[in-house]
Amino acid sequence: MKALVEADGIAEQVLTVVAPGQPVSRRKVLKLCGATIAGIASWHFLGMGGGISAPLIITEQAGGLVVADPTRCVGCRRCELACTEYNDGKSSPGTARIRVRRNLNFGPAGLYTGQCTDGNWGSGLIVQDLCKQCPHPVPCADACPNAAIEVKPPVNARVVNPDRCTGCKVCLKACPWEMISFDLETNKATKCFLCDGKPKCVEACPAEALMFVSWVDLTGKVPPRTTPVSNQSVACIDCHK
Amino acid sequence: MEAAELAELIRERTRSGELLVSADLEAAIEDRHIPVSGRATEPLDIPAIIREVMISHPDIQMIEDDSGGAWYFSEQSMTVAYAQLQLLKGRGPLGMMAEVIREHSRVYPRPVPLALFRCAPFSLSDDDIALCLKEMTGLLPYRDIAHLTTSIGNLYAYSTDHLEPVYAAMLAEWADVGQAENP
Amino acid sequence: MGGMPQYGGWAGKVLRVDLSTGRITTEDTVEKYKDYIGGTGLGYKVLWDEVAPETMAFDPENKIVFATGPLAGTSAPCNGRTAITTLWPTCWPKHLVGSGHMGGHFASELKYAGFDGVIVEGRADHPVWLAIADGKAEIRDARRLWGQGIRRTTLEISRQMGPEAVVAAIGQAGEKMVPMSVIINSVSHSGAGGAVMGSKNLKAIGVRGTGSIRIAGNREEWEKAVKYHLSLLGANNQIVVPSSPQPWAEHYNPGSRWVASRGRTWGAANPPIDTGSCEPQNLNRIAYRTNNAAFFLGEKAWRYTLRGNGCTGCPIRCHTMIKVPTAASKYGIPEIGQSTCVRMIFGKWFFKSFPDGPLGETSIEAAMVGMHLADDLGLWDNYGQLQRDFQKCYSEGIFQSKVGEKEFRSYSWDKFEKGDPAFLFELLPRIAGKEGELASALGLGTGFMLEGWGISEEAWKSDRTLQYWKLGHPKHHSNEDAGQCGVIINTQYNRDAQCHSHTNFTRNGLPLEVQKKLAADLWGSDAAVDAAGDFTPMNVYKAKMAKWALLRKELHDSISLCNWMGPWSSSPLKERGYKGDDTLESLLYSLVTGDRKSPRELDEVAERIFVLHRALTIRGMGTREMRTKHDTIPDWVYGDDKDRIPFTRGTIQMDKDDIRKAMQMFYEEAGWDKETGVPTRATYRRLGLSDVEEKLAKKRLTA
Repeated sequence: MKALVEADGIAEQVLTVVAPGQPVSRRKVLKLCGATIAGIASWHFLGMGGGISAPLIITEQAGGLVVADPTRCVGCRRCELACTEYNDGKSSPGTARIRVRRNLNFGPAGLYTGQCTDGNWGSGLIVQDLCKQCPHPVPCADACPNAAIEVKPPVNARVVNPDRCTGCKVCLKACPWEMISFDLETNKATKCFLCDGKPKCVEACPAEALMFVSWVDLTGKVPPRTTPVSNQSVACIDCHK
Repeated sequence: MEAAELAELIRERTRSGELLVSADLEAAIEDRHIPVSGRATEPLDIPAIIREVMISHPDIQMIEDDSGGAWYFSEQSMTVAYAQLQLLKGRGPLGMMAEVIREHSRVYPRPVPLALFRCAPFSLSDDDIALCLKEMTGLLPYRDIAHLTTSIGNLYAYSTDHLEPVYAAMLAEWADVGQAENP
Repeated sequence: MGGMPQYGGWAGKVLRVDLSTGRITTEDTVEKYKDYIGGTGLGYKVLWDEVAPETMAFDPENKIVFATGPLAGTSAPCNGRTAITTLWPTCWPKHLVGSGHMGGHFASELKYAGFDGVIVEGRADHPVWLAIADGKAEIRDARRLWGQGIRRTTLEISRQMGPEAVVAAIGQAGEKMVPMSVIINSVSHSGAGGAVMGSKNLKAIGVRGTGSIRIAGNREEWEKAVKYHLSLLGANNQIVVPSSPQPWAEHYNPGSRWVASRGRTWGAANPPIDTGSCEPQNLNRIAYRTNNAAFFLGEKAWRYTLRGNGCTGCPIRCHTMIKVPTAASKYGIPEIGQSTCVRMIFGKWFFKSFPDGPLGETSIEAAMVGMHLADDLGLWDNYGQLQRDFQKCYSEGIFQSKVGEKEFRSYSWDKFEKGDPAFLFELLPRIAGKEGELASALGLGTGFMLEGWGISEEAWKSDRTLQYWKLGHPKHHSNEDAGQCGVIINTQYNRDAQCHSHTNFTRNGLPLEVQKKLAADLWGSDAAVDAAGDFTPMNVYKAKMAKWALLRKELHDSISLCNWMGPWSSSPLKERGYKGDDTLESLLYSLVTGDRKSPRELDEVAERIFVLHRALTIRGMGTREMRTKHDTIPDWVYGDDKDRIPFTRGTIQMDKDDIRKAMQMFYEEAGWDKETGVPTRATYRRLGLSDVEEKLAKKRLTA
């Protein structure tokens, strides 16, 4: 894996210092460059119009993951409620960071394929949709024009930083599993942050249908819900020549 | 062996649904004992060790079976009541069934559907249950054990020491039929 | 967005839809209804203020109110029910106020859509359905849906509103204004009132809500309160002991609904899931405790059990999903059925017997066919009265004498006699379609059926096996469950009493000694409860228990808590001495809304709601002689088929004088006139119902 990249020639400086294959945090790069926080905002994409920051390319792997067993899900949706009530102080399945309701009635294939194969009206199987805490390249983080999706220790979940989020919703479109939520009350995106290592949804499930485990890459295993809007980050070229 | 280790041994056995008989506990103590002084043969004060375990780990309980034998379990995952049920098995199926029937008739009070004895920890077959019931009839120690059939054909048993036939019949019918008719 | 609302919990608006004019307006929930909280409270208030007593159920002037409470849609355990309040079309001889409840996901979705309730008034001039989405509502044409079952209706509306929409719909039975009809949402969650919706040409209400409910209280405190409540939960009906010995349990009761055990598996899950030993401390296994398919259909049903199901946010999952391929192939119905309680056995209960016994495969097939038909046609059972009436009318030749020979012969009675579930395909659609005299009569409900056929109500009242009580409805947890307390409760409503506060306690499975200890805490003395079938004469504590049971029922129905699970008068926790917590409602209500109310204050609101129901009934009946005219008790309560004597062990029968005393004691506890049973002026005043009292006084309907 290449080092974290920055645009504008700083990249070359970094790459000469850091050994190839060694993941480097943004913090480390900043230290190396002696740059300040204020400086970040002024970096531009090469060749693009002014005012847009470089994406934050996450390379760290997440330390944990919530996995679900659909055969145990009893469709109570306490996971969605725990996620939002205990994190946001409101009952809000619409902005929950685990998604059950959208598959509850007719399954992930939904109503419009004509089959209604799963869910309460079909086979009974309820598929819980969960954030995969994607490895690099992290679609939501890469898509964010404001570098608002960050890695947060200790579990290294991919987390929306509300201070940086401008509510543009590009990340919503970037996630192949449509796992980013948008809170109309705060006008910010929000996503699963693993509750900093003690996921509320797992705690709330009355059927042991959710587990918090060491991270594993499920991105190739779980069929996507949507074809995401492709967001070619020019910045990727800096590492991936 | 540390008291904590012994306590954990008992807890593990309890978690699997069983009690640890004193002989096994003593053997475990002996097996794991490391003589303090380095001498190979050092007499162990097993009762003292066990006492220490129970004092420092109050969840560890002891109950006695019918012959005074001691059995150990942890209240963290088993109630005294269940532990006693386990020991009842030592009386054989007749004794076990009779005691359960008496307890229900006295405590709740209610007659017991004989199908209950299929369940753990009794785990009797229908044939065994029928045989036991037959055997009890006429035997002096079980003279208080009576049974009846509800209107839908299920057998219930009760102890006449605590329930009169009329009341037992009503309770059995209520449990077997009445509650289902009043869901 | 405007400033933060003053209270959490409530969504803030009540939707009012006039189907006659098409006008849709909203009201401020808190401003107008806070003193009645929501649910049945809101419903009774609307009916009192707006529906004249001479109105009949199918008049456009009748209103049907779907209402939730501030807890609906939150993670408060057991909050998923919507109250449905209207003039009850099966209430005989006059359509008096009644309320029913519908579980599922309707309550929560309505809240997320920004509404605490929907008041439907008037009548559309053609079939319509109501689309409610995020603060807006629209009346849409339902002509294409009319004539279709509940399932198709749900699917078609979901296509228009999105797969997350919740649809409450009527089937052909409601359309035809068959009084014995229901409204169903989320596959199997029914509430009576289908015919009233049908009378308004309202086919369905579709709801889609992406909004949220604000929890007013501190986030950590709320989480703690919810976890505390969860820790006190038992299984379905708040039974707090398992059905077989479990290592963690001190007690057990073979009749318990807490049926989980090692070796008992959800057999149709793929692969099967062992329910295991569900320790009460393990809050991640609550959903495995209850299996109502096994409870109602027998041990064989474990093999067919797919999983539990139920209302939003409820961990109990009292609806069981069963997968029975043989039923599908034999009868051409879906493989999967799901329901609970009487609706699960809706089909089974028609039959006198089955070739392979009461809990065999055929009975399961009958249950499957029954669920399939009843939940699509939208038929109501009236707590099994439909099935009991059917059996009586058949076996005593009433059908034969009342309907023409040609029609009688058009039924395959041999199939019925053999216990062939296929018979249901002949009977149920005809009830839904009002096809023929027999089916139409059954669909009227007992009271109007008897009247139509010139059979005296006394004839029905004298047969205890019918369980008939009064006003066209049966008993619902009466003396067989709780002696005098149960009798009192059954006198108070205009349909079968939807109160489980008392039975959730008496059937909790704990030893009598423990029950008595808990009773002393709850109602002042251990004399409040007796052992089943070992009843003692009436005392004031039983009256207190009855009042508590009734008030809590109304509170739950208004605040959105499930009275099939609460109150939490006991718990499975040995370390608490099996004590529950009678202050939970206050704790949750105060935290969610920010409106701090002590248990006593909340009970007073509940009393206001209950007394408003009383006032509505008094006004509707036009009498103040409630004790003799309304709070009646059928004679079978005083009889015993073995001629045993009251208050001896082995009989549940009551004594007439003792019950007279019981009613007086209850009236005293309630602050009602001892002779007539109407609330006194002081009581109305204390509850803030002086205006109600004045209006009744004008009609000379007060004490």
